[in-house]
Amino acid sequence: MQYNDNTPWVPQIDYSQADALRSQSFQMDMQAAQAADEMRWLESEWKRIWE
Amino acid sequence: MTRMWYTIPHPDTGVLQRDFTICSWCLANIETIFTPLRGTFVPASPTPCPATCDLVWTSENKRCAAYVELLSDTAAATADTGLRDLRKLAAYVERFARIPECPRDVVVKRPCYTMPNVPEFTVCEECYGETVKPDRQRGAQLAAQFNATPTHLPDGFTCQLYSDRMRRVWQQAIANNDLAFLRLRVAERRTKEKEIGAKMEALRARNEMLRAQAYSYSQMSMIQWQHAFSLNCIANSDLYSTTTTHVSIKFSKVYAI
Repeated sequence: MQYNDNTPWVPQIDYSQADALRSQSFQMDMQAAQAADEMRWLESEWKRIWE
Repeated sequence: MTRMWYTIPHPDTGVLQRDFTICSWCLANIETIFTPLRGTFVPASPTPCPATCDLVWTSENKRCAAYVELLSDTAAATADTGLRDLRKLAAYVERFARIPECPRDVVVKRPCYTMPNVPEFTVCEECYGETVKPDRQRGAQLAAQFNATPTHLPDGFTCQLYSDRMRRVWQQAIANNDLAFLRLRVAERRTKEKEIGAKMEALRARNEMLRAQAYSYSQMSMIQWQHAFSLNCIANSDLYSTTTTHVSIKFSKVYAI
């Protein structure tokens, strides 16, 4: 990289894509936890009403 | 597992109850907790043999709880009277140890009792022995409609008589000799069982898919982060250049900031 006066001293690191992916991963985890909660609820309802 | 297993001799015949075996660790615990029972258990065979421990504790293993309760009662009675009476335990072992435990609402492929008039009313061997058999012996007409021998269903079965609710339904049907009532209740339960089973399966699949996606996104995020970080390193790599001019200029800029 050739230095000149316009070279930013601290180049801007673009973490936005990494952040977006991490955020999506978090959302997926939350949705998976919600599905697991629903499973537990269904199981308890089955036991409560039908056992 | 092949190792030394321990069992009890039948109190009347002295025959070893080989369908009921426990491991040496459980034996040590029993003899420590229930001291009046010391010496009750004997090796199931003189040499190591394959078997399993019947006192393995799981939340669904109600038979283990029953064994421990019977052992506790026997120990208390022995302490009171000085006589070790194993007949209750032996009777329970004779009745249940040979048959597998009730599968409850889990589909299993093994023999079950069925009723030709209500084919959906599948009952495991344990629940049959606990509930239907005594009714059959009493002469209840509905109980007599069960096939006398367990049959193997190709798709497996779930037990329809393990819950208190269905046992109440069964008792009511027996009391009124009401086949239509039994058929209706069984159909109602089976419909609900299938509905909930399908929902559970869909939720399980969704959960697994979402977890896999979450993992993949997190890996991609990590790669992106490393990529951005590497770009930054490359961009700053001339900082360590041997050309002193560049370094000095750069440092001068740093100090200026």
